[in-house]
Amino acid sequence: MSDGRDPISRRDFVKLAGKGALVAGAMPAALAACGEDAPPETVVVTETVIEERIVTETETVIEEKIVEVEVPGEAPTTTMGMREAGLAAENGADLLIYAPPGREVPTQWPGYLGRFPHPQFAATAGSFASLGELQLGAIEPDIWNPCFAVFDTAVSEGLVQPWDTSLIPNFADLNPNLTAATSRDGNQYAIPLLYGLAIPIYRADLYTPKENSYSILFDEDLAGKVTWTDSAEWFVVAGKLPENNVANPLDPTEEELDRLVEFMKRKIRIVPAALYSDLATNQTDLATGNIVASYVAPTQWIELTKQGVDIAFVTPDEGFIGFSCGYFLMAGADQYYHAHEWVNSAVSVEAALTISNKFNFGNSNLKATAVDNPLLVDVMGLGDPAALDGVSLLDKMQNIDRLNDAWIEVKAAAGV
Amino acid sequence: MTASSSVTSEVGIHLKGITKTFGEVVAVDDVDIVIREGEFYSLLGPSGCGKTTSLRMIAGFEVPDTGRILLRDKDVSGDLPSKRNVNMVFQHYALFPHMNVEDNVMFGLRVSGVRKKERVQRVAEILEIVRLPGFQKRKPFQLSGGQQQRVALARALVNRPSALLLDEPLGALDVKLRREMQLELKAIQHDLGTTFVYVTHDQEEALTMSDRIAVMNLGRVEQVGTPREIYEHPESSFVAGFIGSLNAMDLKIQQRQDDTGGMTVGEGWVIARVDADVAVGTTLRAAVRPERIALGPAGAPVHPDGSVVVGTVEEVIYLGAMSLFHVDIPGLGQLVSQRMSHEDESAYRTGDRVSASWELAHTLVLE
Amino acid sequence: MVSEINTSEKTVTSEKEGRVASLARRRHRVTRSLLALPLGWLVLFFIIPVSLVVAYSVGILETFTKEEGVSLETWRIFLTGENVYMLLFIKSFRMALIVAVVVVILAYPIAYFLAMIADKYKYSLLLLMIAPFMTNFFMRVMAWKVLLGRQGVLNSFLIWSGLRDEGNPIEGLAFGEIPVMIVLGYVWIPFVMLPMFAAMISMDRRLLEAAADLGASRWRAFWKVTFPLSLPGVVASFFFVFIPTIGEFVVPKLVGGTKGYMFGSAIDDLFGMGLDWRTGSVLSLWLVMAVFILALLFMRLVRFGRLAES
Repeated sequence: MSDGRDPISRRDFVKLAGKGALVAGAMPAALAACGEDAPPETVVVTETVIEERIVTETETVIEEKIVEVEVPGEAPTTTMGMREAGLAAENGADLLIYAPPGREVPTQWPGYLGRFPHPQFAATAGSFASLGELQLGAIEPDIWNPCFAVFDTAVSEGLVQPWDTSLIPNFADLNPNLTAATSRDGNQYAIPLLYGLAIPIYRADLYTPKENSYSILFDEDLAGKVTWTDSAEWFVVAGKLPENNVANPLDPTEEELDRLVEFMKRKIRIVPAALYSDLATNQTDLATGNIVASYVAPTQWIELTKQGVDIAFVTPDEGFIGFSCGYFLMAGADQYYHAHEWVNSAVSVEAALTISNKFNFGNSNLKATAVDNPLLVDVMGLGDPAALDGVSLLDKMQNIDRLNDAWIEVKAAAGV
Repeated sequence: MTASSSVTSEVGIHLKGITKTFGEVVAVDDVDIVIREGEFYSLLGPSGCGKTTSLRMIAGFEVPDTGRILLRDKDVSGDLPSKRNVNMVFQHYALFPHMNVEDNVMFGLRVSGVRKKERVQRVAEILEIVRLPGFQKRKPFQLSGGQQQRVALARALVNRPSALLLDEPLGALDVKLRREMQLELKAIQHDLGTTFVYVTHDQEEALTMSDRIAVMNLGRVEQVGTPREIYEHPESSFVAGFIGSLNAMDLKIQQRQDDTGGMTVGEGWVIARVDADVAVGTTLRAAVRPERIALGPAGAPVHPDGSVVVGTVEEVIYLGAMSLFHVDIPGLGQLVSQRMSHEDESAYRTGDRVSASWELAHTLVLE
Repeated sequence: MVSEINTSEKTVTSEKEGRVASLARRRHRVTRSLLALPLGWLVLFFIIPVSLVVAYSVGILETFTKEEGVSLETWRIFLTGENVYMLLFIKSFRMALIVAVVVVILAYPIAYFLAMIADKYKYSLLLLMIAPFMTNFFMRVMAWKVLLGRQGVLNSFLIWSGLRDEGNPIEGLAFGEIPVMIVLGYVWIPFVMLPMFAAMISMDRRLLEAAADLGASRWRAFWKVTFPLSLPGVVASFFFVFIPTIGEFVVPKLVGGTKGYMFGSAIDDLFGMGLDWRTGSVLSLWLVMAVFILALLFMRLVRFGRLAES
C-alpha cells in the first residue's frame, strides 16, 4: 500500500477513504466494476487540490461512492477489492461508536474482535441529547446508535450518510419493515438493530379496560395511577385514538397537532407524578399497585410477569406503536469500512439473539429465530416477518422538533 | 477643693460588699463604694482592676456574686438593666448605626412612652446642651468621634437618669479633643447636677474632672478621696505610683524627734513625718514627687527644715514648659526633679553638683 | 554662549518632560493591562456566551436548519404570552419567592441561636448543621422521596398509628410543587443561614446593652436593633435562595412530577430533547435578565445595609 500514497498525507488519505471516495489502490477495480477501464496514469497532483476535492465533492462522493481522483504514484500491480483496500487504508482502532452504555460488550458484535482492532465507545445520554451534541460537533463518531425517532431530523440535517448494504452481508436477513422505515429515497440511512412495541399494560387485578385501546392510558378513572414516558411520541399515542381523528399520527397536520396539544394538556393532569424516566421505580410502583397502568416496552411486562405480578397488556384495536433503534453512519465517518464490518457483526444472528434473550427486545434479524424467550415471542410475534405490518413505527415520525416543542409546552402547561 | 454645688450628702449609689468572679478570676473583691447624689465620682485604676465590672454591675449588665447595690436606697441588685434608672455611655459609644441622631437620642424616651412632642423637644434641648444643635437627621457614620461622643452622652442624659455611668468615654479620642471634652463633660455635669460615675485608667483625666476618686487595684478599692487627697496623701505605694510620678526610696529611720524621723545621706539627710510607734532602725517606704524637689547649688539647703541631699546632674530633659533633671545621689539613688523651664534653677547642666531639697510634708510615707 | 546654554537647558527640560511623559504613558499602559484581565474574563465568560445566546434567540445562529429567518418573532411570542412560558416563569418566580421567604424565616432563628446564644459552641454547632450537606445531593433528594412517598416513612407512620386508613395515604408529597419547594428549602437552609449568621456575629453586642440600658426589653431590642442590623444578611440570604431557585431544573426533574415543572425545566427540555435552541435562548436570556435586575437590586440593598453599619 506504500505505492502512490506518498504525496498525500496519511490523514488526507484516510479522510478520502472515510468519505467513501475511491482509494488509490482500489481504483482500477472500482472502475472495472463500473464497466470502464482506466489506464494507470501518473499525474502529479498537489495536496491542496486534493483537499479541495474533498470539500467540494463530498456530496457527489456520497451519491456515487466513486470519484475519479487522479492520484499520483505508480499503478498498483495487483487488483484488490475495494473493501480490503478500504479496510487497509483505515486505522480500525479509531473506529468510534456513540451508543448507549452497554453496547461496548463484545458479545453484541461477535466475530469482529479477532479480525479488527478493538473499536472505541462513547456513551450517549438519550437519542435527542446525542442528536444535539452531534449537530454541534461536540463529538465526531463513525457510528451513532440512537432510536429512530430522530431519523427524520438526522437525515434532513445531513448528519448521516447511507450505508453501503453490499458491504453488510447480514443486511439481507433484516426485517423489511424495519429496513424500509430507515431508508429514504432508496438510500439505507440506518441499520436497525432492535425493536419493541410500546404496550399499554395494566394490573389485571385492579383494573378492567373498557376497550382494547391505548385509551386506557388516558382513562380519568385511573387519575393518579397512570405513568407516561417523557417523550413527544405521546402525540402519536394520542393521535392513534379514534376520538382524536388524526389521519397520520406519525405526521399530524398543524390543525391536528393543535387539537392534540389541547387534548394532552387536559389529559396530562391524570399523570400523578413523574413522566417516568426511571424504569426501576416505575416497575416497583406497578408491582405494588401504586401505579395501575403504564406505557412500557415489553421488557417491563416480561419482568413483572416473571415476578408473578398480575399484569396484562392491551392489544390496541388501532394497532401497536413500535420503536426501533440501530446504527447510523455519520456523514464525517473516518472509518467507513470498519464501520460496515462492525455493523455487520452487530446485526448478526448471534448478536440478535443476545438482544432478544438478554435484553427482551425484538431483534431485526429474521434468521434469529431460536429466541429462548417465550414471553417475548408471545407479545411481539417474534420471527414473523409480518409481525410489524400494522405497527406505527416511530422511525417514520416527521418534523419531530415540532412535536418536541409541543410536548414541552404541554409539560409546561401542566406545571402552570 | 471646690466641690460642685450640686453635691449633696444624700447617698446616690451604694455598693455594699460586692464580689464578682469570672471563673477563677476575682474581678471585684468585697468592694464598698458610696457615691453621693450629684457627685462626679471616678473609678480609677489600671485595666483589670475591676472598675469596669463595678460600673457594669451598677448598670445591671453583670450580677454580683455577693453584696447588694442600692440606687437611692433602693436595692436593685436583681433588676434588669432596663429597669434601673441609670444610663450608660459606652466606651465606643455604641450608637445605633441604622438610626439617625434624633432616633438614637430618642430611643430611651420612646421606650418609656414619652409623647412625641415632648420627645422632640427634649432631644432638641439635650442636643443644645451637648453642643450639637440641628444634628438630628445626621447618621452616626457622618459624625466625627467627638460628635459621636456627644450623641452618646445626649442619648443617656435625655432620659434624666438618677446617675450617668461613663465607661472610658474619651478613650477613643485624640489628646487635644480629650482635654476639651473633659472640661465640657465637667461643665455639663455641673449644669445638670446629675451623678456621674466615671471609669478611667487615665489619672490625669480623673484628677481633672472628679469630685472624688476611688483608686482600684486587683478588684479592691485602694483609696477614696478628692483628687488632692489622693495626689498629696496617697495611702499606699500603689496609689502613689499610679497617680503622678514618684521618686521612691527606702527610708531607714536612724533618728527620731517628735513626730519626725530621718536618715543621713552623704552630707545631707531625708526626714519624714512618722507615726509614734515607728522605732529607730525601721525601714519605711517613702517617696517624693518630682515637682516638689527644688535644686540649688551644692551645700546650700533650699528647705532648711526639710530634706536635702547632694548629687550630680546626670541628665536634663527639656519638655517645653518643664524640664526634668535626673540627679544621681550617692547612697540614695537617682532622683528626678521637675522644674519650670524658665526658672533660674533650670540653668543646671549635666555634671553640675547640686543640692536637691524638699519640705518635710512632701516626704510621703507610703506604708 | 548664552543662547547655547539656554538651548541646552531647554533640551534638558524637554528631556525631563519627555521622561515624565513616557513614565506616565507606561503607568497608563500598566493600568490598562491590569484592567485587561478582568475585562478579558468578562468578555470570555459573559459577553461572548451571552452574545451567542442572543444570536440564537433571534435566529442569527441556528443549530438545526429550520429556516425561520432572523426576527424577534420568538421573543414576541414569549413576551406577549402567546405560549405558556411566561406563565411558567411567573409560577417559578412565585415558587422561588415562597421558598426564599420560608427558608429565610426558618433559618433566621437558627442563625440567631448560633450567633447570639450558642456562645462558644457556635462553630461546632454550625459544622454539625452543615455536615449532612456534605453527602451527595441526589442521596439527600432521594431521602425525601423515602420520607414523603406514598409508602414513605411519613405515610407508614400515619397508617401504623391509625391516623390514616390503609390504602389511603397522603398523596402529592412525593411529587409536585410542594415537594419541589420542600426539597429546595431543605437543600438551601444551611447556606442561607451563613449570611445571616455572619451579619449577626459581626454585630456589636454593646448595642444590645445600650438598648437594654435605655430601657428596652429583649423583644424590643431585638426588633429595634438586632433585626434591622441583620437585614443585610437577611437580604443576602434571600437572594442566595431566590436566584438559583427560579432557574432550578434538577429538583423538579427528581420530585416535580408533572405539577412541579419549572421555568428551568423548560429551558433544559428546549435545549435537550426539544432541540429548540431559539426558544430556549429566549427563555434563558429572560432568566438572566431577571436575575441580573434582582442582583442589582440586591447589591443596592446590601450597600444600603453596609452604609448603615459603618
